Amino acid sequence: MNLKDKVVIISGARQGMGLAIAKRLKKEGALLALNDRVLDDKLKEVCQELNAFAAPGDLSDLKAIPAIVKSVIEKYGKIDAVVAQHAYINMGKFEEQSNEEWWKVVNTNLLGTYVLIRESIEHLKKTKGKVVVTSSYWGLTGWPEASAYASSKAGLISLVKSLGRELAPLGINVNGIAPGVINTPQLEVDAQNLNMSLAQVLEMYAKNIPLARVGTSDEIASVVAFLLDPEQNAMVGQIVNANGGEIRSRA
Amino acid sequence: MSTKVALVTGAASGIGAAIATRFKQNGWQVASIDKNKSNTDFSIEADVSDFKSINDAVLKIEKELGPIEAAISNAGHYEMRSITDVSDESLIKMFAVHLGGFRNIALSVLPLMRARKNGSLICITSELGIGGGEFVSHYSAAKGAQIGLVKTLSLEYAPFNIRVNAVAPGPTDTPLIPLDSPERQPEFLNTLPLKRLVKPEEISQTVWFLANEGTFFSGEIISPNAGAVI
Repeated sequence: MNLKDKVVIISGARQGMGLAIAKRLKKEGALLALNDRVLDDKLKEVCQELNAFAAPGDLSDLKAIPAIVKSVIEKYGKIDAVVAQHAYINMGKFEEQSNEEWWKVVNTNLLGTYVLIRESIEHLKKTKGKVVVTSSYWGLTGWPEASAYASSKAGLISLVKSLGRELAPLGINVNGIAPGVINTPQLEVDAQNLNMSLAQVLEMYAKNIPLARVGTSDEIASVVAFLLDPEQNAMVGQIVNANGGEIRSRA
Repeated sequence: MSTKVALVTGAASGIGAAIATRFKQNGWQVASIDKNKSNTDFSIEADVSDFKSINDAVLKIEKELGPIEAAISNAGHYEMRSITDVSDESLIKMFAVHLGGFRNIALSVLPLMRARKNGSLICITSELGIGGGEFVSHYSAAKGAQIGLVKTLSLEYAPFNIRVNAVAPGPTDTPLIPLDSPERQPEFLNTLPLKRLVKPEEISQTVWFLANEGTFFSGEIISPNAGAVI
């Protein structure tokens, strides 16, 4: 496959799956515009390593998004793909979660992705570009004490399906990925919250996964590469489940 | 140079031929089981609905080329008609080829893969097995049944590091869709968000991805279908 000189915006790119996706697409020849909340040392380092353009900005601040997209156009002159990978999670009992926390999750994950895509569409029309959205298997199954997160991820599934239908006639392919449990820095947060070691958390999750292990960020990055392959245009509005077999329902 | 071996059924034409070509181009050795002779490294002419000949063929392939790392059950046929016009013979044949053919491949390769604790089994099903369709009752029922078997086998064989998944193509530009078929008319194509048939190469790219890089996929149905089923 060849993504030479294809301009790809990746949100949430400073660590975890976003970073793995950036590295993989760089290997395929893409020109990267990497977004994360702020331009900290880590994001600077990643951009330097991957010769990428930094397009920082908090995507829960919807008014800030047009300027982010504009900066990418000013840098590269076009956009060939948007990989909406960022996410914010806040676990908590439904009754105890504040309005503020609820909306922060929904704003960041669902509305932030929505506006990022909306602002990119005029550019994607010109390149017959592609959109890949990272949802989550919790968006299919729901999850206790993750009502806001699961709702936002379920909303993304519906958004992908609608935009898949709406934008395919314009030559824009929109698809989503619903990862299962992936070994990212979030698991360290889970371990802290559960008062367990990382090894214990990995073992706990692996018990529910038929392949008997959690996934890797590289495995999710390979799904993004599959969906962005210029040879592949028949994937339209699909949600691809990369979860080790844990959930076998259809998104 | 890789010496990995792929088995593709129905490789003499259409999607199967595209899959065989892609694996071949990427350095794999490809064996084929088809009713017709195929342009592969090792072509066996047999009917997938006959367990004995399939099991014999699989053993012969392993003896000739080495361990099968990826088995792709693809052979099938297509027929459109109202349920009231589907004879028992036609119904039985549809299930014998699609569900039985996939089962025969699974029964033949999975014990070998289990002993090696490695392998990927991919069933080519159809979007009609997910979303159904008009006048394809026997075809969509057989394709849907394949999906149930894929999910079950994925659970049973995951502990042995064997991944069982499916690809569910949309209407694809192959000889299974005759030139005068309704699927080639503008009225139908306009109902697809993509406004065109799926190319065999888009299916083979998906199969190639699942067999090689899709290492966290188990029991999944990936459907490059031009938006026919979303």
